Amino acid sequence: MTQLVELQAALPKFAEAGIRLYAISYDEIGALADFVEHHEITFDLLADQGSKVIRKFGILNHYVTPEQVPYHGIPFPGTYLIDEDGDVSAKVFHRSLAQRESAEGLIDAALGEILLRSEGPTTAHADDSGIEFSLTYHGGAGVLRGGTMRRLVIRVDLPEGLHIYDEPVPTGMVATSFTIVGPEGLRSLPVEKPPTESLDLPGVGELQVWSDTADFAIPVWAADEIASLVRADNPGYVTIEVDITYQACDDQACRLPRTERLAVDVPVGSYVGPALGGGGMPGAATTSMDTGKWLGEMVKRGIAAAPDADAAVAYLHRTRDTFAAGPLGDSVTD
Amino acid sequence: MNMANDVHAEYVDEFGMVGPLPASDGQRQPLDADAPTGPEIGSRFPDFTLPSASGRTVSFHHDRAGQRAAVVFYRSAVW
Repeated sequence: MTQLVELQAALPKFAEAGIRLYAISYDEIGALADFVEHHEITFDLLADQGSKVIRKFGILNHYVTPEQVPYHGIPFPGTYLIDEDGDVSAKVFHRSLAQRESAEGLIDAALGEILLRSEGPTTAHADDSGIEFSLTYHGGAGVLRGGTMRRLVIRVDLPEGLHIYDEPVPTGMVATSFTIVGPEGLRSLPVEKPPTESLDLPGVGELQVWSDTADFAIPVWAADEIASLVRADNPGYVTIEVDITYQACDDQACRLPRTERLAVDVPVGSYVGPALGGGGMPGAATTSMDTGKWLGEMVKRGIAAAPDADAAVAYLHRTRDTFAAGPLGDSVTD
Repeated sequence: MNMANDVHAEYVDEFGMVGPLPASDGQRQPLDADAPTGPEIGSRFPDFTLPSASGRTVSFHHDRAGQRAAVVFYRSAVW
């Protein structure tokens, strides 16, 4: 749900990139209409009741058994990017079913490049050899939320004549690497590196290097320690720190390997829950599930082990008030 | 009160995410590396016709009218 509301907030960005947006689920049309009304969604939420299209695409979640009503029928969540000719130009499926690509990540996938925007928190720094580094928190309009992927984009601007190395390098030389130092709970996938150039060094062989400007992207998401659907308090922001280790050389000599640290403060947004009082569960037409019942169910199942009943009720009310305040609370910046 | 500190370990998956079902439940099981993810890159995107919450009926390729498109498959807007 957070994903749909984020997509809505990013609709102008999709339009700017010439991309029409559609979303498909197995929900009943009435439930979708409730959601559209509550969250003011203006793109098409399509109702695949009976999961016919989901099955046709071969992405039915087969881990959920037919006996698990009403959950049977959901897809493995993912997105296809389609070009003007109607062909699949890219697709994004994450291993964790809790992870969703950000709107900006989808637009980047469609365009085949990282479109950095001024809205993401950013920091810049230069070392004493004139190499400039910047770290930008990219995606979700610069806000961190549980369950949606973002990218840490590290741009390295090298003065003319200098280059840095990709792996592998001979013994004694240092390849470029990135380490997320903090915060605790920020998880990542392997770094996405830009294309390299070949450099033939006499007596050493062919090495892969970057020169001029190189953009590295580290996909990241917030684990429960940072942004949780069962956490009533919000830390407000987190400080993301990344270490870059590299060795810069020109065609004559190499400098000593160095490590530079970059840090940005990133605001933490609220979790977006189901519409209050909205809709029926697919396959269980008589069931109306509002946020309170849903959260109550979570407590009952033991995700949130409330110390006592009063505390649980207070927690549910507080969370319900947060949800009732609006689609994304007041933390959305655009 | 910080509820997150009281979360039962079985509800936390290998990605650090917490959900309303144990991490071992089918709904939360991670995608196998070789799991099918539908139409391949470079292939024609299969056409479909579905009703939209707006009341329209959308025939995909006709509706996008020669534009690029993103089609998001998600779990549910209800739960």
